[in-house]
Amino acid sequence: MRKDIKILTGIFLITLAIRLFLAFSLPNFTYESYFHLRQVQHIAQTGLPLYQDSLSYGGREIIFLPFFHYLAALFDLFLPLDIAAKILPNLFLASLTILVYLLGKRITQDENNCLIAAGVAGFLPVLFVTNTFTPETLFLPLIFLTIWAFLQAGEKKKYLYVYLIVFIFSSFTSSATFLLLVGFAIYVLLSFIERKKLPPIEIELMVVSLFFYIWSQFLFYKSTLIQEGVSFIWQNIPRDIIAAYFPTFSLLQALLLVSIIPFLGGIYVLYQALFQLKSQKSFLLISLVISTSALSWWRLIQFKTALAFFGLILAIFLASFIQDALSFLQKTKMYRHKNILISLALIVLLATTAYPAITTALQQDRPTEKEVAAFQWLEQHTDEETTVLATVKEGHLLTYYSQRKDIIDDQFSLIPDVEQRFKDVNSLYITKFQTQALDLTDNYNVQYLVLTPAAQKLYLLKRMEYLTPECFSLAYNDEVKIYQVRCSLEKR
Amino acid sequence: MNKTKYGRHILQYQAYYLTALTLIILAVPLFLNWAQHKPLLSGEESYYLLSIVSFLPGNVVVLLLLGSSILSIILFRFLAKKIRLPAEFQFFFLLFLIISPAFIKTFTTLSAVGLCIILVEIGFFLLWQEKYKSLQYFSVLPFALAAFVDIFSALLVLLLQLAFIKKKKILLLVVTSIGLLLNIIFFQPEFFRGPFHVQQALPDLISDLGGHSGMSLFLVLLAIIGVAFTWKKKNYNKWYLFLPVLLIAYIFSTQTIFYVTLLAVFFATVSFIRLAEDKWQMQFLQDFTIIIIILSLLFSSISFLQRTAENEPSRGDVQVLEWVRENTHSRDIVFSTAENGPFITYFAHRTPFSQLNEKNREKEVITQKILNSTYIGETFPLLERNKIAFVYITPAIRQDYPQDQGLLFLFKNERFKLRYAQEGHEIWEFLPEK
Repeated sequence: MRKDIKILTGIFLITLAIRLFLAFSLPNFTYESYFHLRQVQHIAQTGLPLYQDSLSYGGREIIFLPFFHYLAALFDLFLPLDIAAKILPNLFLASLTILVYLLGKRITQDENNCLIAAGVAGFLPVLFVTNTFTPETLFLPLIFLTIWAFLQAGEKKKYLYVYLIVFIFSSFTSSATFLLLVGFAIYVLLSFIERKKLPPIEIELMVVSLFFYIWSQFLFYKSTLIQEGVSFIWQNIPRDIIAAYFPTFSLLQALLLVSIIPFLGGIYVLYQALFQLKSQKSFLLISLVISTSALSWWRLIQFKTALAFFGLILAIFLASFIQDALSFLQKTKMYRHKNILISLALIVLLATTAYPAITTALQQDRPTEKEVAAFQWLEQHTDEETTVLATVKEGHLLTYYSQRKDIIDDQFSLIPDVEQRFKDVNSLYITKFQTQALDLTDNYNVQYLVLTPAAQKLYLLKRMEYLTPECFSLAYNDEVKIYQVRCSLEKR
Repeated sequence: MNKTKYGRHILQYQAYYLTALTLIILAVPLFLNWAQHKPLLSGEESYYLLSIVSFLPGNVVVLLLLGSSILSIILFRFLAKKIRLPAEFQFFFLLFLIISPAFIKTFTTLSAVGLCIILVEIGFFLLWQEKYKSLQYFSVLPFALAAFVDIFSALLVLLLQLAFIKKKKILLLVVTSIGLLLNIIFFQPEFFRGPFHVQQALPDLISDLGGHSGMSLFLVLLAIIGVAFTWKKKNYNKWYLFLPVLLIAYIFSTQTIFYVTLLAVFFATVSFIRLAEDKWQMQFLQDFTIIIIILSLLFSSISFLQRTAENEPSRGDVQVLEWVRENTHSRDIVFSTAENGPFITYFAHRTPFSQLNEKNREKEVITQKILNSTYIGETFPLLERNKIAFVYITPAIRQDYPQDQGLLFLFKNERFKLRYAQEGHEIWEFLPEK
């Protein structure tokens, strides 16, 4: 086996091992993961996704791209879901090390630099969320595999088939695949400006990708598009929380989440490639950086997705940056201390990537064991038709563990009057007036209220102020409190 | 298409196939309306125009519409041949046009734009007669009549004459211009007719975004690719002439969508034929792309056709407004959203408080104030001052406006009395103060 392949395998395995160690040491999954876990469970049981969900929002239609869920359901056949759900996303994200290495080799032939870039990609803080189970964990490796296959397709025909297959999977995994298409558009524009002729096979692949992507999204999201129009981009997210999903671009946050050296190195290479060297090899990657930045700037894609994509491309550029830095060093007297300098750089790199990465993993937003126990209690002690009040982010936790109806969760698409619903849920936590609370519990047919430490932190309260023993009896008393609603304005 | 036996057959008999397709496609919305016991004609503009030509029975209008759509397709083919567009181009141009939501909308509703298109086609048909040259003189009549639709359409007719008449016939230009002038002097027409619905640039352009007309997103994409393909080709100059004019016009009025669609279909056909005929490095990629394009265009059209069942007026509209006609005083003013104005005029024979095509800014402001105001102190004087006797509420209004505030909330007041309701459509009487 070639030395670089051995080292690359080592990097991949170390990344995977650390990720899995953290995933299994930290209990539970991130809040949004429970939606996908429930879908996988349903596919494993029935073979179909749960597009008509009787629990979410008390019953609604929910449309999503199902490839990730089907793939996970396949693993669910021979592994318990809890274990498969921890292994798969980490396996997918760890595979990015290999893809970054391969893409790095497309722009620089130096294998050592590509290995460093691969190492950085493995520990990018923005991707070091080990307890997540979302389609984005599969989307990122798929999209980078697509990019690699696209770049290879011009040279070897077999990669064309790889490209098509992976692109189709990617289109059915996440709508964010349109990042690639916008990147293609900028790639064509840059090539046109630079008067560089694109290979016909690349044009053909871009055309087929464009039409296939739009058609595939129409297949799934036709009703969403008709109902929500252009606003489907913002997924019907209530105005009060949209900033959390589509925040204004923050350079500081980008620096922290992508980590400082890949960020600065990547930007330097980007500048050089675009304005000085104009190398065709990196044109597509540059186009992707431009498309990601622009779409994120205009709040057309979620910041997290944009940053992950951005961070990985900058990691690829890091390989080129190291090469440039070393050749510059060779021209200086400092070259005599080459080994010390490289060791120093590696230490700085490690400190600015691995440390923030581990911190990110430890600070993942997950429910505690006691919270999970409270939601499990609801399943055992309440009727199947019960509706329960929980916060937006706890919605999926409720439908997954309690199997009970929620009022709201973070799948906002196709929900009419979502703003009002969001306001009403907030009111149920913060109102001081019992009549208002009972009016709302009547409206939404709520029978239980859940107050978790996470909700207390979110609303800055110890308990709801309108609670009286006469109307709200404490049904579950631990770190989490569950109240049963005993009064109704209608009955009075 | 010429390469296969079936392709050649279709091209040879395209007139029959396209006519049959037109009838099938246009029959779908009519059938859906009939199945739901709704009036066969839908759309606000239809009823605005029907109020003017009230002597025409609705069923006759439907037959006229179907006939005019077929005539339009036949004339398009004739004109396409005259300007020497290849048979394959004619076929795909008409195919894409027939399945476009803008065409379906235009020829299943009464519309001034549809009338203008037919007149212009007849004008060119007569003008390009080679056998019976005396017919050419009669072309002035349809061209002059087309100038009466609205000012923009008249200008477009002039532009078409300039672009497509080889030996510039001054007489034609003069007659069309005179038609336009007479129209301006005697009828003071609008620059753009309408609007008859609340205009939204993107959904009105791309039907897949929930619009009531427009075209498929795929057609737009194909058109953009078509423009890129033809950018430097001189024989497309004439068509480029219309591009800025129509795009600017569309920004000001989405009522021009059918004209925009015609141009988009032209460029989309250019790109489709090029994508299908060029030699690709990978044959299967080419086949895959063509299949996806055709499937996507069909999906968009089917999805649009399904949605036509939701077009107004509904059975509830007719029942409630006919009740108004039979049970209220002919001078009563009925308040509703401006889109419902033509239905109130046609079915209830009453004066609506506002209509979109009136473009009366003051009434628009008052309408919004009445719908949104929470205080009777503001709403009641507005209703009294404008002599509003009845308020017509539809399910769409109930969905678009909050129930716990504004006019819908004020219905709890004793001065409002629900007089009649059917299928979510309600007529409320605003009673005078005791």
